[in-house]
Amino acid sequence: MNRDTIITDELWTPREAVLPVCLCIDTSGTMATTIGGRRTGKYVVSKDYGNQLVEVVEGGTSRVEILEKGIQKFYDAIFADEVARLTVLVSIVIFNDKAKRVQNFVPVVKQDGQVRKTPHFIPQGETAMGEGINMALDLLDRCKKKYKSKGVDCYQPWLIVMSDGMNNGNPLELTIAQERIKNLVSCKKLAVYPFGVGKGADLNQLNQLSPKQKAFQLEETQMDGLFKWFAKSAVQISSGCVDGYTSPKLEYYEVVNWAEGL
Amino acid sequence: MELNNKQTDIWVAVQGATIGKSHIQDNCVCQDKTFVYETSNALAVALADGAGSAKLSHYGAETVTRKVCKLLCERFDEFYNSNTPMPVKNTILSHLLKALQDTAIENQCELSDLASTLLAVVISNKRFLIIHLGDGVIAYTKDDEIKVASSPKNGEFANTTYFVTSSCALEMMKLVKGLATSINGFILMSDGSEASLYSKQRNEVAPVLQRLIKRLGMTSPEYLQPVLEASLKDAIAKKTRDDCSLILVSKHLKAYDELDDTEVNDYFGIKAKRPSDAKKRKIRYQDILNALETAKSDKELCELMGLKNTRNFIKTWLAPLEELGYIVKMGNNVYKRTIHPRCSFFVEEQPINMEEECDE
Repeated sequence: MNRDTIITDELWTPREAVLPVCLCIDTSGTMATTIGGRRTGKYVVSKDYGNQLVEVVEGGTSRVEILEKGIQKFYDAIFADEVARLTVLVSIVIFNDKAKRVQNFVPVVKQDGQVRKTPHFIPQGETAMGEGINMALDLLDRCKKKYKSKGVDCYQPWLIVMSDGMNNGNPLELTIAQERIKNLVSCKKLAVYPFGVGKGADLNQLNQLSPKQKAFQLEETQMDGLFKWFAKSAVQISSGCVDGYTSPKLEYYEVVNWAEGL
Repeated sequence: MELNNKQTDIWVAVQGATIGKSHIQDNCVCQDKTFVYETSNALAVALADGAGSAKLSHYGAETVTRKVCKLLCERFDEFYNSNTPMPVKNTILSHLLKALQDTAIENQCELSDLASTLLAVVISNKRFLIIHLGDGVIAYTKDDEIKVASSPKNGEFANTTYFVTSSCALEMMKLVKGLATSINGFILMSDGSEASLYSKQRNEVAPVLQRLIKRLGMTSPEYLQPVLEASLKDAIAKKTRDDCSLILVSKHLKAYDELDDTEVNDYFGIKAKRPSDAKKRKIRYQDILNALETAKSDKELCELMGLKNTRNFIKTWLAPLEELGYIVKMGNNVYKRTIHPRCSFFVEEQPINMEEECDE
């Protein structure tokens, strides 16, 4: 090699753009509902579910466990891509009686090089959805500002909302959240994906959170496919080949197809 | 031979574009395009990064780089002397859009399929013009420092920028003019190269480019072209998945006789302990150059300088002169002085007797 040729050591380390993804998840008591399995008619107080009285079901899986597994699939699929694993930053906000941040924006790869594990959610209490979404929007805003100040570009952030019920937190909070989302989406500053999990979800309420595309009714069995789709889309965005204002659009047939495929 | 009396500086350029990892993976073509255009009194260079979201953006990038270079050279004085920038921007953009329309008809596609950014620099009679639309960086070197002339213009998010075909192109186009008297070089880079050569936070360009600009000024485009290509392929493109392109423009070095002591040390990389050592070296280089007014073999020259080891003589004395373009190897270990390092502008003044050269 010619002695004048630039070598990699002489270059600066690129600051890869980040894709902030906030999962805003309902962990109210109903998320403990078991899918499949056999009801026994026996009731016990469960430590796992916040010392609530729950009916014992043999076999089956709870909604929240399905959700945890789905998120883990999302982590695994992103981890498998060497670029996306550093680009995608995931934060998790849960809401029940109140909103709580359980994970700030972090890559799916941990410092020890291993894939991150999904936190364990304990379903309990009510559905303070407005509080949850407002906290998620605050976190997304803070994340964007933080990286901007460091000279790191952000891709259009994603907000994924999942609820199996309807808001019974402060109604004003929900109105504020709806307004904030509306403003952000109209300025192309946010991509929002609301999902109603199971039959009890209030899709009308969720629809009001999404000015551009309708909320999706999601069966628990579709969770797996949905998170795989999110991971695939995040990998595509991380590759830098997609126009930065175009966040992936989820089509209804894609959701239905997963159900048929399962 | 009277280079000193020439009012015009000599500017040279090298250009390169390398396909990014993600485009190789997707079986796509390189969407970064570069172009260098020279007329008798101007040198124009342009670089365009075709939009990833536009299917034929590589054709668009090619069209705009070619068109803008020719236009800037042909109408330099008119543009430079314009009192306000808007009419100039208007003229440039309308010419580019017209050219893109022709390309769109040729390729049976929409104008938006040809979207690309645009960076261009033209230098004529110690004056320059800079055009910049979208991302990428234009930098320049002055007094041993590298400075940003035009920083990237991005949208709010990563991978969002402005294109020649954007509705806000006129508004977003940057036009800069100035005197190039104390400027030694210009650097144009696409956002792929920007990843490892530009710090957005500090608005700074990596100092390593200063080295290449210097080398280009001291040597020749022929020497630096493979250096640039290897740098792009083996280093810069390794740091990103995007296509990478780079254009280096440098004011060419002076004839040896015009160099002062510091410049000689700088050009030849002399780190003498005592100033007298550097002076001795400078005199010896001059002696060699004088001796090579007529072609001589390395052995003959070595003896003439009172030295014994021909191999060492070549390494220490002839190789640096050859690399800087002051002498040329004509085959059979025969060397000859050039009037000026491979400067196409002054070919007619080359004192080398062509008949004699052919006889060799």
